[in-house]
Amino acid sequence: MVFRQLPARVVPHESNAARDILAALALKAALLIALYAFFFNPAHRPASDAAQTANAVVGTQSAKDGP
Amino acid sequence: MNPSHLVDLSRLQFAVTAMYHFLFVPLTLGLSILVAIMESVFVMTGRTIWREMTRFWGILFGINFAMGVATGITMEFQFGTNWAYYSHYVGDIFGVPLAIEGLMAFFLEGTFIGLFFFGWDRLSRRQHLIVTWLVAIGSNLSALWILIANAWMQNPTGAHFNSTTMRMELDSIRDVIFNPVAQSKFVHTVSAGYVTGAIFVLAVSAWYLLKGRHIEFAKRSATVALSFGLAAALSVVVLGDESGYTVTEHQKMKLAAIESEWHTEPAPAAFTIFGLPDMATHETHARVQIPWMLGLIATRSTDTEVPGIYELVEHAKERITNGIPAATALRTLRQHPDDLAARQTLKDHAEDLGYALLLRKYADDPSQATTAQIDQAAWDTVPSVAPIFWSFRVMVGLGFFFIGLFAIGFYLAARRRVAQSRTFLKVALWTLPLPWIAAEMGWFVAEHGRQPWSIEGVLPTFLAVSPIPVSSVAISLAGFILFYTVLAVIDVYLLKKYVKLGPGTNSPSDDFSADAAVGPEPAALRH
Repeated sequence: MVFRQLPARVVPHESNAARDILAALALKAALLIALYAFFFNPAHRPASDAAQTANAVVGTQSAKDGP
Repeated sequence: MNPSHLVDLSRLQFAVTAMYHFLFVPLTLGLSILVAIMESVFVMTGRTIWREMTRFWGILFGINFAMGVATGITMEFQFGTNWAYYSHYVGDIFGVPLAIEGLMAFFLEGTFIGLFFFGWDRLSRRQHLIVTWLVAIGSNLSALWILIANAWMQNPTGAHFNSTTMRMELDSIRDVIFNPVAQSKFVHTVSAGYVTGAIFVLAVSAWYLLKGRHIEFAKRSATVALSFGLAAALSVVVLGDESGYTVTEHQKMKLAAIESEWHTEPAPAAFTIFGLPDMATHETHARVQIPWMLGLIATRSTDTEVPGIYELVEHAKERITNGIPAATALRTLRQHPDDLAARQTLKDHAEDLGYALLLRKYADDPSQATTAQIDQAAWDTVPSVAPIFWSFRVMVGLGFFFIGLFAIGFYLAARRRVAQSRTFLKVALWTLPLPWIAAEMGWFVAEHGRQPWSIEGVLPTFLAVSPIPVSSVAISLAGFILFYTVLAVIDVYLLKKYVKLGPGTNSPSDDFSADAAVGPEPAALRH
């Protein structure tokens, strides 16, 4: 049995809600893309390989026995 | 070394995004289950009023879901940009549950939410009900994986440190998934979400009843919210106790800070209901205590002590001292990877490497640290006591208030008197913001109480931050605040708009006369 076989009772706000939700999602996507583009794209990410992490965490560059 | 204001600003940015994100999450968790319960009743009874309830609360769930979805992604942006060393050091483990969440739970939830909204005329009743439950299960699974990741930060288990790759590497995914902190945190958090959903439904229903609108609809919605909410509120307290017990096991300093317990008391320790913690003098003024209660809650025994802050600081000093050879060995291994003696030293002292790293705030080379610097680093393991102490008490106080509210409402509902009790309805309406306050307080206790660690006992927060310009963090923080404020305003606006429009037609009393043909409604569902 499908729902349309039940006594019909339209929920008039669902279509409006779908429109509002889609508009809000579009705005959100635009804002997220803007944030990513301005602040968080790969160009803004510092490199973090093993050597750089070691230097940051344990300070290997200044080690007395360093090269 | 990163300047402290860069660390503070990066922490603030992460905290702001996490706390904004968590405005949406608990309502999604709670409403998804409530909608599934309502639709189950519809399928069982065939009464259209329950379908109407499912569709109406489903719209509100959809609005909140749409506004909340992907708001957590901004935290993942930050891992790469602001927390590059954190990402390198622990990303191999921390990223696993996050990836599973995206691939499994989020797609399950995202796919079936589409079917929920657009499948009413295309699916059978039972098929649609299954879809609705899958949306609810997907939401909860999402929370599970995120909390597994978070729990690993509180209790890093199932991993070891590799000095060559400078990464924590996974030993056992089973240990990560079945981390006891994850299990207790998950059930406590989703229960808090259920309470939030129940209070939302109750408050909106109370508003309709106070306005004399959609009476039959609102009475049934309130009954579901009260029954579900009472069970959820009781669960929050019971499961919160379990969550607290795991803190006792794995994060003793956090527990001591929550209790503002500066010195170890004889077992069983008393619970401080009220006090004024003073970080300068290391005292708690005007203490009001309940004997035995902390000992019983935290250790579930009468003869086990709950260590105080001073004792834990002494313990931290020992671990820092024991960790210094590991830090020295790691520095050596970075220059001479084949040094077997250094490798063995690192292995022997690996458990305390993280503690030695606390010294990096004061000494470039931990082995050169003075006794005074070791003392300072040990005291750094104490988080700010007063905010944690008070946040915890606000959260717990609200938790007990919710139990009282739901219990009174449940009693009124059982006597068919909810709609007539205007005082109760007004209190229920004004309770609406409180579950969010409780949930945010809970997160604050969990995360601020973890400081100074990004990963408990492994990686201090100040070493996890990327060396990026402070101005960049400040500007992106402003961008985040704008972004989330816009989303929150739209969320509240849309929820308010559709609550005001109400279910179906906007007539004062809804016509569900067709339901009479279905037969009498079960007494438990009727008012």
